Amino acid sequence: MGRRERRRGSHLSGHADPGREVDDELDFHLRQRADELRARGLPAAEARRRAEEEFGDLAATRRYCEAEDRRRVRRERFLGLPRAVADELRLALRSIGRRPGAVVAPAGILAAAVTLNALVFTVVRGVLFSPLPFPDPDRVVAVDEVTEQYGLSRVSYPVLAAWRREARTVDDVAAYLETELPLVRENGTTRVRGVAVTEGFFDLLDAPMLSGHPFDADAHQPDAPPAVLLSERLWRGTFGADPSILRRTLRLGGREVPVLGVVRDGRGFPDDADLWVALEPTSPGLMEVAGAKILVGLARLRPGATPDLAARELGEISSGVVGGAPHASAVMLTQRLLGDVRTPLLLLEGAVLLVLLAACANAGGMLLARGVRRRAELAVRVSVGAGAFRVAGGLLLEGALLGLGSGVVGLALAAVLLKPALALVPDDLPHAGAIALDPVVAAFAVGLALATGVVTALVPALTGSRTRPSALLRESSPGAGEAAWLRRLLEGFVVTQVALAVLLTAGAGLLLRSFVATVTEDPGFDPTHVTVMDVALPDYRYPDVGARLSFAHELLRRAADLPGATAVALGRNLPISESTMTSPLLTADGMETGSVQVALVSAGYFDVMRIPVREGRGFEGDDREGGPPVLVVDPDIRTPDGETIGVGSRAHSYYGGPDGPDGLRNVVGVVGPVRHDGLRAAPPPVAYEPFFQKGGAAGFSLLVRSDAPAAVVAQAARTLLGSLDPEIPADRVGTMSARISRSVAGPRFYTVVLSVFGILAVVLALAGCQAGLAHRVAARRREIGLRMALGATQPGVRGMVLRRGLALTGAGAALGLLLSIPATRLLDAQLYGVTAGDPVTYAALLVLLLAAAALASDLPARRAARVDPAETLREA
Amino acid sequence: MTEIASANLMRGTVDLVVLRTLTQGPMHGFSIARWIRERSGDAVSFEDAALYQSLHRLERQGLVESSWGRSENNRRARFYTLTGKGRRRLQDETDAFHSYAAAITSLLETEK
Repeated sequence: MGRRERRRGSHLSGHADPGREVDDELDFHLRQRADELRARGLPAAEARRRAEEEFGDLAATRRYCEAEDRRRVRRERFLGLPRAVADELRLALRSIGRRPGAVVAPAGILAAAVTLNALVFTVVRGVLFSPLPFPDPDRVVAVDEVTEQYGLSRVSYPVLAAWRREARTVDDVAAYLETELPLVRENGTTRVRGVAVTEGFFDLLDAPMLSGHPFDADAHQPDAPPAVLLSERLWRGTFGADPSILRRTLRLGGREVPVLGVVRDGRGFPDDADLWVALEPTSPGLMEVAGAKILVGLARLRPGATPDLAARELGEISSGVVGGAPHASAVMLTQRLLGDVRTPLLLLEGAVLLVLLAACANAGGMLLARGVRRRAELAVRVSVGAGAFRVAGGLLLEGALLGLGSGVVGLALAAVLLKPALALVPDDLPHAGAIALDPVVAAFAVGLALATGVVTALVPALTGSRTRPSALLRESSPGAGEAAWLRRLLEGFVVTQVALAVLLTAGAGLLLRSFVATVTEDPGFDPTHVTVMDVALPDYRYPDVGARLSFAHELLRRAADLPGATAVALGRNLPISESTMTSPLLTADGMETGSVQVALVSAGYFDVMRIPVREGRGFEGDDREGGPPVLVVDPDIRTPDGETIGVGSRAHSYYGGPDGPDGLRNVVGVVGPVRHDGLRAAPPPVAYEPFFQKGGAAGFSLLVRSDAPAAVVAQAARTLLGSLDPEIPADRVGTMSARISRSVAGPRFYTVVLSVFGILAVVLALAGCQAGLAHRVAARRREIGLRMALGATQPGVRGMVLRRGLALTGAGAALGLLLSIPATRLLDAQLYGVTAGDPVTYAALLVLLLAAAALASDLPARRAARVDPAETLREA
Repeated sequence: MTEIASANLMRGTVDLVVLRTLTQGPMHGFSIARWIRERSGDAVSFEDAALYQSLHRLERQGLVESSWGRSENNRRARFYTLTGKGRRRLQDETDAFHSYAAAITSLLETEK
């Protein structure tokens, strides 16, 4: 390129060499003037001399003009930056617009990764880091009694009172008890989550009241008039934000209870409570005996106190109370609440970060390849005088634009998807209801996308703008191959993606195998076609055994007519229902077995549940009040000397006390083991006692085996209960299968999410591998052509590219495996039925991945094989 | 008048004339010089050196812009254009000059 033309392009850059510009300008003037003078007859040399003479001080003017220009350029460079940026922005948009395809894919991938990250981080932060509703949440501890026999227990009322009186390490000792209460309204009775609280409970909270006031000390006195605090949620939802709510009374638990106040959402505790009532130390038995350890204790550490100190002091106090436990425990409440979910949630966060990393590597590879292809364009810009700095800046701006755009799009998508995504989150995650997109998360996710855009623009920016244009133009002509370091970088992106994909799919595979192992466990009963309805008899309507029993008989009798019913039963302490009633069995020779689950069930239970009767018989119609006391056991119940209890043995549990003449029950049958404590727990020993021989119960379930559709049965059961007593809530009806499914909601959630991540990572890795190879084939077209001209066959060339693809995948897989050995250890606690090093998972994973990689590599390999040697040689 | 004040006055005048000249449209330095010479009938004359210094000063102040183009006889020439800011400045300076000139004139006439 000529010197002249290069200078002509100088206005592009805004700061070409001012000296030369001034020279050219003044030279033009002098030549014009000399022409004029020549036209008047002066000889050429004389004309030029005269022109210079007329001009004045040429040297001083040149210096002055140059200095002015330099000042202008300097100022433009800094003050004019916004304009330069705007120019480059236009240029960047135009360059994106010219080949949108090359940008849409990486931008889309980045956006999707941002969406996922925003969602996962929002949920995880929402659960883990949303503050508890206490003024100083890091000082609130959960306090418990610790007994020799059962370990960690809840707190009894007398011990709580002693702690309140005497403890020096803690303030505001209080406790609560979660209950369910029937709330009767005109349009039906519903069950609400109530929390009965002791004195001092509301002192722990931080300004919880939206209106009204919390309980005063009198409310906790025996015989105090009842009162209730509603949650804002219940007030707004069920009561339509009734402004006169404080003058209303509710029919709650059989009493008319005035509303004392409304508790702000997010300020009450526990956060899923619908309402709070005062716990009254009235019922003897429960409130005066230190053996009744039923309260959930909370306290605030005094300044300087640690949980350990508090535990020691509280233990000393409780050991001084009659029936109090010899020790106590105090742990941070946050730790107590999040203990189970913290690890899997953090793992989820780690996994989604890996997805983001994979997406960045993928988008980065694509953008880098695009940048490399564009180096010719950059070389032209540099060669026509655009400053290297400006070109590099423009590229970075383009990268930033891309990253920012992807980030914002991703975030917008996340905002839209947050609600549906929250529906997938298992209910038992704390705070899950109150999660909103978080500005910190938003900034973080967009920042990452922005960083990816900028970082991937760095390589072409630095190499494309610094290199001497001539060298670059030569190098970046298509098909000539590229620098080794650049190739390694591009391949490094592919290897990284494959490694991340292996890491994620290894985790997903293990969780999936665990999940399959869990749900294919035989629960010991047949949950299909079984409908369960929970029944809670309000004690104000069913105060004694007689009333409860006659209601239960009537319900059971009428339930036989439910649509399609083939068997019906009543039961208490059902499997996989989180309920637990344990007691040792006492045998005829005075031996006590280990602790067993005691289920109270009516005749028909084993038929409804299809629990096989292995020996003897199940319960029959005569096994009711007045009949001979009987017992059914499963084969796992053993006395301390290892003897099983079989048909003909005699024993009883401590539930409801001994019933027979000698206090013992005849074992009449042995049934199969049942996974009472969940699918992942081994079947515990279970003893069954006749429901009606134990005085019934206030809380129990109706079980119906029916061939009719579950929804029909459920509706009929609801109607039946409503017709028997409209004040009994009939809101908890469902299928046994749904209960089992709900019991594995947590593992299912983590499995599904991690599987989605894994699949995404694999797709990304394969796409990245394919794109990387395609770029490489394009870059080496000339070399491939040469090889073919020298005798390489088409299959040979195809094989060469395929091998490269497999080598990259293999390297990535090896790296991924290496990483996943320590990483999957973290999953250990979530696994069931497989070990973290499960060879089947890894083998399946590798075979699938390599097969997919071969498929993905085939397209660029075919393209390579189609290179026309004659054509490429001509180009060279 | 001191030398510096005189130089400033001179500069100001040259700048004003250059700006006025450019209201006709883009021109290169040579044609600006010629136009001024022809217009003023050599009454206002300054060296080409002062003209070019003025042009570069004005460009630095953002009152004019320059770009390279082709002259009438197809030579590469640097063309100057008045910017919006330059146009406003010309208006202000012209007004100021008129009132200044009027004031001086009336002063001189009173003295007579």
